Amino acid sequence: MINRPEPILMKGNEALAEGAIRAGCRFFAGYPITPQNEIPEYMARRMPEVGGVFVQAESEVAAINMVYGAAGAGVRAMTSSSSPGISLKQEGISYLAGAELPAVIANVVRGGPGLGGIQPAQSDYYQATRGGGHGDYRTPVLAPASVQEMYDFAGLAFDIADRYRNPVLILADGALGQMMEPVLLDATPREVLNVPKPWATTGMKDRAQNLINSIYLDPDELEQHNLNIQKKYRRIEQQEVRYEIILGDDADFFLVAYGTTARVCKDVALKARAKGMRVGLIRPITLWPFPSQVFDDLLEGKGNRQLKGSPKPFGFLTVEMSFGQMVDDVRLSVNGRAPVYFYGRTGGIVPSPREVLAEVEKIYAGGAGKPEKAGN
Amino acid sequence: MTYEMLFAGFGGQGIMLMGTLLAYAGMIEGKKVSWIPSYGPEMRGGTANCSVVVSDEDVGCPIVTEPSVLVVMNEPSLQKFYNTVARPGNVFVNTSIIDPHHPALARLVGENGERKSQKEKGGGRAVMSENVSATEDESVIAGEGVRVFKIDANRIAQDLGNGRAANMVMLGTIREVTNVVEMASLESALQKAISKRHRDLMEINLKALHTGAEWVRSHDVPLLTPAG
Repeated sequence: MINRPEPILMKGNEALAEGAIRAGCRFFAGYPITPQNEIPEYMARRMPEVGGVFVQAESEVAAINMVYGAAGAGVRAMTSSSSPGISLKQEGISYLAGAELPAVIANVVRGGPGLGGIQPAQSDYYQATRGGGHGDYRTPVLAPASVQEMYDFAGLAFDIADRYRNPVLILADGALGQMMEPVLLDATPREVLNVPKPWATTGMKDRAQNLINSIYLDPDELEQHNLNIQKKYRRIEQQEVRYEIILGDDADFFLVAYGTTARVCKDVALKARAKGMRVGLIRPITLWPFPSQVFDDLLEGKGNRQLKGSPKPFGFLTVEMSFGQMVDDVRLSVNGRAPVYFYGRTGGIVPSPREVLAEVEKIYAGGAGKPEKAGN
Repeated sequence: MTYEMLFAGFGGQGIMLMGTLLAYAGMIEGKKVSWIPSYGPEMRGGTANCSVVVSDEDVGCPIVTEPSVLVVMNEPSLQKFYNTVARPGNVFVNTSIIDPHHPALARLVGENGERKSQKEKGGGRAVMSENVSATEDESVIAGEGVRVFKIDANRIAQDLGNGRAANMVMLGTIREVTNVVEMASLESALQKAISKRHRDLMEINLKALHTGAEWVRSHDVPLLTPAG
């Protein structure tokens, strides 16, 4: 593909794959599942062109462990799947976290539980933000909301992964994977963050032996290892929080949504404003670390420049394609200082702007009932 | 201005291509665009559809649930989507496959089913029921903030030499009625979208686009008035 400064029309899945390749990803292993199949399809074609390796593995478990191997050798490596496949990869992700290996895992979420359906959902939020596998670990989670961000966040994910030696998740959904939008690819080759990897198992020549492992049988050693990675997570929490505030200047009420749902909620905020309700939107871009500080800024009137002089919001409505997962983080952040409402659709249904607007109107009219019980 | 468009029909009718070309043309003009297909199991045999948004503003929800432009290429699509049309709205119907007297079409413009008797009584043009207007040949009917364009797209395409260009005939009519993009942008989009292998189809596709536009110009299209 030629570098072009003008936009090209791409599917989200393709943009993610191209973004990864331009960020220096040279190893991809995956196993087919809808709605993310365009990622391995694209990788199968592009990887040989850039001297990289594409493997269609025999299973999701094999794919994530191949990524473990490639990452251990110091290569930018990734895998992708959709919900049921991501569940299968959890053991490998836990091992990556334990061995402190950088890698990128993309989840183009579909409805669950079990095999569920193939339409878009956001029901893997808990899994993505709480580690997902066994053990005390976390993975930074990036939530794109456009095809452009599918492209941009692939590179960002690799940079964060390398910087902290930690697996990074991209949490998209079926709509973002399948939709086409104009994308601006980098006009010049993307600048790849070049983190030295002296720990990589590249073949012992004139250095001491490198060992990559996640087993620490001595409890003191394991606790020390855990303290070290926890320290790393605190650093990530301080340095990697990302979010967007839309129409926040004068808002007295906020929608909270990520990914495709955030796009719906932006429509809702505009429609609500046309009816005289001053609705804003908080869009978390990193789901972990969660942008809790924003809620403090809003509720305590602290020095967030974007929100200076804004009224204290009288409530928050979290909208998700789930029965309420991110809303837990919103409640933890708000911590009782304002009512937190919830509205969700599941099973592959994307909430329509009309139904969310109706929910907003109900809340403004004071008829939404107890916020703890509000929801679908 | 924001155009929320839904294209629906059988797999193989070029539904996805119609949407892609419009999105492409919008992008060429520097507009914000999105395109998203239905990718469910219904694509096997039933209706395939795609949502396209062309706007001056950033596109919010890419999935169109209340289209201001609905394009239906087969009967199941009409059944599935006719009662989702926004007002004001334009509906483009491929009457080579869909019965031009399908009751859903009358319902769209607010007819109460008395049209036939009224016509028998009064006859003549554009007086079928109080609030419904129509062209002389009734290939465009309007009422309740909706216009329905009945286009014999497959036959028109066949007359041009290839029935499979019916989607391009429809696209030409859509452009001419809605002005969503310029014809030149659609032509450029077509140049980019058609692979080298199918260059020989360029001419028929262009001809079909322009014939669709001409179909609109040759009809005395009623104005789109708000519902009520």
